[in-house]
Amino acid sequence: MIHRILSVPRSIVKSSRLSVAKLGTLPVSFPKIRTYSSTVPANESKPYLSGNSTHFGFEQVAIDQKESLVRQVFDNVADSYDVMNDLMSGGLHRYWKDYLLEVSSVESMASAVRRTNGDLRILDVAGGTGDVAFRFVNAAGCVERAKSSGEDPVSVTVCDINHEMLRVGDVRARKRFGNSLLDDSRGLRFMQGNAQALEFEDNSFDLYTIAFGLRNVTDVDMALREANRVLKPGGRFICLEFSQVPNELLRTIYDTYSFHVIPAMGQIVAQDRESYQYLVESIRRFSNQDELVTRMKNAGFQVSRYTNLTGGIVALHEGWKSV
Amino acid sequence: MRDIPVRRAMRHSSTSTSAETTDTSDGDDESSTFGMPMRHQILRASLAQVPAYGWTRDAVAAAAAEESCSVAVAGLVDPSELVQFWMDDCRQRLQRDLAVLAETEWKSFANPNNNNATKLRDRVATALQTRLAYTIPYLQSSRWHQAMALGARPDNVWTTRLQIEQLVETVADAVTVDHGEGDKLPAWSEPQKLGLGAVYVAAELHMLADTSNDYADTWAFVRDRVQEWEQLVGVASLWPTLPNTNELAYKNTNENSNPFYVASAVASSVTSGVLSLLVPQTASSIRNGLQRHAANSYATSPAHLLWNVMVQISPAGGTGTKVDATNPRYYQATSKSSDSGAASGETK
Repeated sequence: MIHRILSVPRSIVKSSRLSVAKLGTLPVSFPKIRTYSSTVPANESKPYLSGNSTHFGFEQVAIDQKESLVRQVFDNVADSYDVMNDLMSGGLHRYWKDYLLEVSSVESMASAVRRTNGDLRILDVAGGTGDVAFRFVNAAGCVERAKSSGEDPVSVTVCDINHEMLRVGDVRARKRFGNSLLDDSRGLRFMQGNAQALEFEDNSFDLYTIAFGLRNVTDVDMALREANRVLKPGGRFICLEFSQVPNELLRTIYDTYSFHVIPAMGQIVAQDRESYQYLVESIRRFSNQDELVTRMKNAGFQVSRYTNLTGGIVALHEGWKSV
Repeated sequence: MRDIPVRRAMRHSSTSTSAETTDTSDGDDESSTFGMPMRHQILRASLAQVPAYGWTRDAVAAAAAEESCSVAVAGLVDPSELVQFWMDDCRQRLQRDLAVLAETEWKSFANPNNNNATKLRDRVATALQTRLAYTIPYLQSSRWHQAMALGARPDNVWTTRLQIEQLVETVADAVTVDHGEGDKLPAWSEPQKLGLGAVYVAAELHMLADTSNDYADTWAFVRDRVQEWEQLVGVASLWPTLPNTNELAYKNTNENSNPFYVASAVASSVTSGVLSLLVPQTASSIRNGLQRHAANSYATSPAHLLWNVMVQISPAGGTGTKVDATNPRYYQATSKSSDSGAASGETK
């Protein structure tokens, strides 16, 4: 089976240059190194967009085209998205998302605000099928709270540009938590929206998370500024995203896997090679760890820093809005 | 674009002294590196909440509410950073307080004929007492043992060690400089510093179980341990012209860094600290006994027993370097010093 996948004719594997994608090489966590990247002055980075074209995977497309192209990809993959995540990452995406949950300390924040009659508003952008949001809902005890009346002071809002992904998420949520969480306590809600132009008021969220979504946004700088805008002072931005693997050996294995195995998997499981080819390529085109930190600083975040997970295949970036 | 990632193996970035931070940062200013103004603001506000909430995220969350900012700032600091921040803060406070003491209260030792000179052991004891007094608000709210436990966690123990080292440096800097004439005593050796660090830790332990009025037991404990430390590691010899210390007879400096003495100083300090924590009654009765029958009781204290053993087994120890600890005059000198120590403790 593996042999067959690896020997897919070159003609099918379009533009199979080196790339970085989801990988399930080792089910162990590499030591997490939190890195503060401060040596690059904030004003030295280039804008994410310049000229009138941008990357879509390894292709160049017009800036105004990218959004609909990305939308197309996620329309295609929505139904098989969660299955494919497990397959492609060998289950590692669960570990990465669990780490995000742990770092976010949603549990202790939720118990703090429930005790003190405060509120905790979480926004999960590009969170379509709800993987991350469900973790927050569980950790914050929103399901239990939904059994009593009134609106929950803790709310998790999933915002995604893609209706198909939101639909899948909504179905999953109702199946898992019941209707009252979504309809009565409103502890969890799904809203369609664009990360570059969020329809939320300034200073309205405590936590903004975006897991494996930022690289699909056309103008990352604009999305970061929007994140900063909707966060309350002292609010926290957390981004989980594929990044660059510094270790060469690991990178070689990883690139081979991403370019040869993942598109083939997409072909077999979801009958859609192109979309998964895009996923793999878009990872390579996205900012590396330090670049993203610089972009975050430019967008106004304080204490911007990142932690590499699984050898840098994924990086968790975080920053705080100034107080 | 320069693209030099600054790697730090430690998640807790507030320690400006950790080895990892120095070699790769190109001498970058630490304060600009970590968005310090914001972190400082949060950490400082959180300390005010520690008596109520402990050294926890809850304290940070409560501070966030006070500062009317998002509860999410709690993720900015780890509870153990709270302790480290406080320790760093205390170091600066101690520097300031000791500078004031040196200027105003301590009598110059520059003139060997000046019998009023504030003795080194008194200065050291006062300095330790000053530092210990900073923990009182946390002791009273039963939060200090939590801080100590956090500091002793394996991932923090290195930082804690560095911070105690810094504390000893601060004390050493302050007490060995004479503000009157600008004289300076020779720097302390590593074993001497180590010994004093042990005295401090022991005193902290002692303080946890201290129920006496205004921590009088602890202050007495500090004076006793500093006195032992002075004898055992031979700091006195660094000050041969010091009035009233000639009788200590530690003139042979070569012996003073003998590991035996150092080990015994460390062991005795920590042992007595732990002892006083475990059996406070015994410890305080030993001390009361000291007050009543100074000489005899001192002779039975663990440090003295240890010392006697050392003198007998150490090759160099036996020759002409005997302390007459049972000499009442010797003890009198220390009990006199206790008054000045207590007085400065109350100024906190």
